[in-house]
Amino acid sequence: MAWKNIGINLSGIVISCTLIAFLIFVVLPSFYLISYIFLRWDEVWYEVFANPITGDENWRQIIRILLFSFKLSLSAVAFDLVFGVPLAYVLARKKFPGKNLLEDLVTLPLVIPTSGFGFATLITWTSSSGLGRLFGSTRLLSMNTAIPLINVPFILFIVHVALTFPYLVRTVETKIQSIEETYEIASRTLGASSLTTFRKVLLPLSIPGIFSGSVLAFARSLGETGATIIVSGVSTTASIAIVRWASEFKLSTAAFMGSLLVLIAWIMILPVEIYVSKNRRSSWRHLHIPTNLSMKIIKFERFLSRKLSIVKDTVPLIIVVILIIIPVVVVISSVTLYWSADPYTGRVEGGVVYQLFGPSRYLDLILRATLTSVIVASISTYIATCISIPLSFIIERRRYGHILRTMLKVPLIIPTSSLGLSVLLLWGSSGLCLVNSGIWMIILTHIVFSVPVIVESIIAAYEGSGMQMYEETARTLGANAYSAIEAVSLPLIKGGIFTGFILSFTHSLGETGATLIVMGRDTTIPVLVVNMVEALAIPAALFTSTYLIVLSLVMLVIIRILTQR
Amino acid sequence: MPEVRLVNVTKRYGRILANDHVNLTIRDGEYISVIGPSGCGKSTLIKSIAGIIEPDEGEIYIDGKIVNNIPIEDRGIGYVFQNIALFPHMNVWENITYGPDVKGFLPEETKTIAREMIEMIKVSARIDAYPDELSGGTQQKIAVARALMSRSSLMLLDEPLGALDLKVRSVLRYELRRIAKALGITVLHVTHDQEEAMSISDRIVVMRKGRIVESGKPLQLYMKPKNLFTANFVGEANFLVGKIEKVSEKGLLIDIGNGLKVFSTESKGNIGDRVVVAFRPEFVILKEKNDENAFFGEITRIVYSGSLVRITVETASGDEILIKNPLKFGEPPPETGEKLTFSIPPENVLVYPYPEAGLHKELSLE
Amino acid sequence: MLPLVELVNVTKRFGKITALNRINLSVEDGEYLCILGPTGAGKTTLLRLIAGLLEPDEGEIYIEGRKVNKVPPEERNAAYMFQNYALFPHMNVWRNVSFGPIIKEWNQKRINDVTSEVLEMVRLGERKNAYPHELSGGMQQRVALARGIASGARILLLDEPFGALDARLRVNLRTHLKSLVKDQRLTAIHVTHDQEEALMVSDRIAILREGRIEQIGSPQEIYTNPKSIFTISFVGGANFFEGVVSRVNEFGSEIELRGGLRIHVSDRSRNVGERVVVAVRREHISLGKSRRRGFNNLLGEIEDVMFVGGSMEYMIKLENDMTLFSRILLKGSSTPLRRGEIVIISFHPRECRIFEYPRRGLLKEIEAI
Repeated sequence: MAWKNIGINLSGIVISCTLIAFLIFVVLPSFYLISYIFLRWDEVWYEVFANPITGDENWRQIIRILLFSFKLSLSAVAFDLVFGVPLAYVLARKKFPGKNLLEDLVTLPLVIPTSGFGFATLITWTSSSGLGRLFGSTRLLSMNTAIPLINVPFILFIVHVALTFPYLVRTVETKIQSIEETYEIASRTLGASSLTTFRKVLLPLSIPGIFSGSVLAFARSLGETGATIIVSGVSTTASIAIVRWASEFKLSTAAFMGSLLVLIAWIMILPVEIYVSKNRRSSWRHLHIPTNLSMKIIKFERFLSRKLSIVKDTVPLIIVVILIIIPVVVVISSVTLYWSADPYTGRVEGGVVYQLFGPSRYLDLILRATLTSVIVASISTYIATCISIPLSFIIERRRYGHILRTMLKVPLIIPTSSLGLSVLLLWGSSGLCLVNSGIWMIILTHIVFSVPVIVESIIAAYEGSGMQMYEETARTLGANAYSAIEAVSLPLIKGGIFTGFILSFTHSLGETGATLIVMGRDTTIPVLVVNMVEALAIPAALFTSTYLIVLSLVMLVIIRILTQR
Repeated sequence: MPEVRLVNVTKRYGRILANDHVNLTIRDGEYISVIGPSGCGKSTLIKSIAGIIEPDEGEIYIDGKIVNNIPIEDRGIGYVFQNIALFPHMNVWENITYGPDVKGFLPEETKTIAREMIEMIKVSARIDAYPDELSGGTQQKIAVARALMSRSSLMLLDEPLGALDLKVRSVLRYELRRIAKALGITVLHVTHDQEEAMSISDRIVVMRKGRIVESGKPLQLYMKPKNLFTANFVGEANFLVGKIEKVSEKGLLIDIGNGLKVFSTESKGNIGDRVVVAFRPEFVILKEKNDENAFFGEITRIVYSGSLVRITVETASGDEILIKNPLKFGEPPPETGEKLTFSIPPENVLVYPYPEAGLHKELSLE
Repeated sequence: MLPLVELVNVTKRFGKITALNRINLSVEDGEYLCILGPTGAGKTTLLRLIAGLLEPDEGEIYIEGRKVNKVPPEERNAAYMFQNYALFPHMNVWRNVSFGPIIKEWNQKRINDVTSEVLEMVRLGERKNAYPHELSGGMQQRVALARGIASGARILLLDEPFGALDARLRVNLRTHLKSLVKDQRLTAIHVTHDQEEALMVSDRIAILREGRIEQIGSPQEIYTNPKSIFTISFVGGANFFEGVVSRVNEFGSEIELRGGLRIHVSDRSRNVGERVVVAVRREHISLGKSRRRGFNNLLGEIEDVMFVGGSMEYMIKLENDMTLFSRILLKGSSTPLRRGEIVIISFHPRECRIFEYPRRGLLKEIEAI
């Protein structure tokens, strides 16, 4: 209550500090890469285009890799759309037992450690202890088995689908939830079957959400690093290329690729944000279907609606099961399988216990990495939360708020490896020279993508709470702006703050791509998985992946309990 | 053939009985209103008829056919929503022609019917306008036109005027009736506003806590409501507690305490019964000489309500009586503190058995 | 005596739309003022300006004598009540009501005393531990009122306080609200679109239309002396006759209607040849079988009979094809007239109000949809 007296200036100070912190910790790292390119154009030109040894080979490589990445991401998003939109509809509109569980499963890929998940998927499909076990211990596929026609490796494809699926589904689900169900009921009372209703009423109104979700999913796929590194085999995506080149000290090439990706992310996001924020009547200006065809389509939809209502509810469910549940189950059961020895050769050295406690003492590494991971997650999430809470209020209350919100989308969609590289170049020895690679740089990196996650969570709670009304009431009852926030607003969004904190903490625990670049000599658990896979200590990798995945699941359950209250 | 028939329709939400074995018959061409306080189940009922909600028990017949398992789109009804629900991404014309379009009507036919409908409903908006450019009243008219386009003979109106200003409501409700009668359709109109229902319905159904309490013609419900709740819900009334003292062929004499007696032309009841006496404020007569059922009292409050005066009088026994009288031009208005004599014609005195749940609970509007 | 609240030439714009245009209004201490008007007239904007939730683009607002344009809401002593009450969902009834006193840092005893007292006033003392979602609409409204009163505010700003309640419930609660406000000697500014409500509860009514005040006066004044067609139509409703002034003498004017019908009105303010609209309230039109001396008498046929809230309303078609409405209070023994009956409609010249024919046309003025 003593705030009353210092009232006037406090507001200005808080806002300025928050905005400065936002600029330094989030915006700068996100965009630094681009300025790096401009500052060091000569170096970049030299290495990429006019290299004395390789000519413009680097540039050609960049193009090839980018095209491949695009192909991969586009096909993943296409698949997402076909199965994700109906799933989003089911989640938004229907009530059924186990719906919460399904929601959590769909959210899982958002928090699951990408390297652990990549590994789990690899085991499931390619090793003899995965699904192959059901068919008599054969390997089902190899890492490089490609999907015909599009020529994209199958495993890589399904990993990208699984990791981008939630972005699309959740965005579309939120959009559909915001559309009054009355429109659909009205359509049906006018004689339209549920499929016709979906096509003529719901779809046009949810286009902004579908668009938004697709772009988000595409960007996520472009930037996906952790799992990709494990399953890519001989293929290279843009984000992995950055990691490889950074480790080979071809910094300029890596930076150039990174900037291109950031630019592409920007170019995609900006028009979509502008379009969506305008909230114009949908642009689905009736594709003019000739009447005869239209009548036939309607008849067909009526027929389908009657027969297929169950089918369209279950097919997306099956997809979720295949993509997500199976790898998780496989990895956990594999740990038990490999516990004491390799089940196929009997070698004790091939067992989990041996690798953990034997000469290589992976257990020590795991414990040390756990400590690092937890320290990083705690500190970065804490700092991010301190920035996010006032930032959310600024976004909701100031006219320039929506610009800030758009800027916050960028760290979410640029490749994590790009981000890592940016932080490295900015704060490290090539830039400001303030921080060395290692735990502090990892923390700085994690703050960048934690802030958007927490802000989105708080804003969702804010907008759903009707807060403005309660605050205004409190003000007219005698509360000044701070007392109103303290007594009314914060309690109303505390669920959002907690959820954001936990989501961000869990994500930080499992983050791989950026960490790989900035870690120096410190290791986090997900990086350890990558190392173990590269060292072919498969059982140890199995164990660590399981450990990580279980940790994430536990976190999700905690969120679920908190939000039920 | 009755248009709609509900037999023992029941719907539960957890432990709450939203509809409790409701039986209702609506005849072809009737304009029926279902009224009741919030939570009485009227919304659940109309949604069950439309197919938006499935009842847990009971059958619903439309035009003789049982419709319990028939999906919404195949029931052949028109529905108007409280929040209007015009498709925001379609203009007026597209909204109106939506029904015929999805039912496969030929475009020429659709155009003709649509133009007729716009003419009849007197829609003043441009057909290329979008809903968010129009006023609430205009939007609702278009929603009504849209619902009528499918040529169904049953219209379900779920608080159709709820989202509109009082002034707009009082005009639009007559339009609803005019259009319904002109087209000869059956209407079920749900509302919490009893005045709205009374002014346009052929019959009114009163619901409370999931059950139908009473149904009848508007004037009937107003003049001779069959139970206390209706008497209180449909218009205002004064309530006094008393005991039946004498029963004769002419009527009942009730002792309301403090030596006051009231005579009613009602005949049902036995000597000694504890009863509640009710009469409407509009039927009270201000007179000088002693009439049957004369009361004295002091005016405690005067409120002018346009053309009416609402006079609250406190009697010797401490009862507060409300009187509604038209303002007479030229006559000096009464003032607080004045003593007043008034009487109630015996045929306007209603008598009800004292309710088990207590008077306050029985009259509760929530 | 200085008015408690005063608005001087207040204007508020939203983009290109002028929501309020040079509003001048003063509210006395202890007054119950209603702001009445259709949706979109600017009523809520006006209330929010007084509360301090919005700032005017032009003009000044004075509360308790001092200019408050830049003064934040918490210092204005005016409690705002939303249509849906905005009871803090995470606090029970007791904490909601004691919110104001606690924020104002009164001592604990005073907080407890005031909160209990106010809860007793609204008869919700027993529900003090309940949470808002457990209460009915009417109860929530009472808690919101209690909260405003307990905060010690001198002014209550009520935004459609009955809007979320059933029609029948509103009638009962109106008188309670008025008594509560008067007993506590508070000043109330009550926004509504319900003219019956405004007529019943206010000391004065300000009619707001498209951002301007159309008329201010006591309910009786507004009802018996409406200054415009909009007002007479919005408050109480009326029948409108379009015609031309054909004669003026010391007794009044004669108006020629469509079809050659003539009526007399007491008003002499118009000139011969002027196009006018004559308004007669529905309750001033009586129906009978014979002509009444000194009254205007016209022949008509009953087209429709409706029962409206304790009165019979008759729709009558006149010889010149005009449609009229007559409203007659239902008195115990009267038998209603029937459709098809031929009657003589009568109304007195004194009960006619005459207006200049509106430029925008009659329909627009009475805001027919």
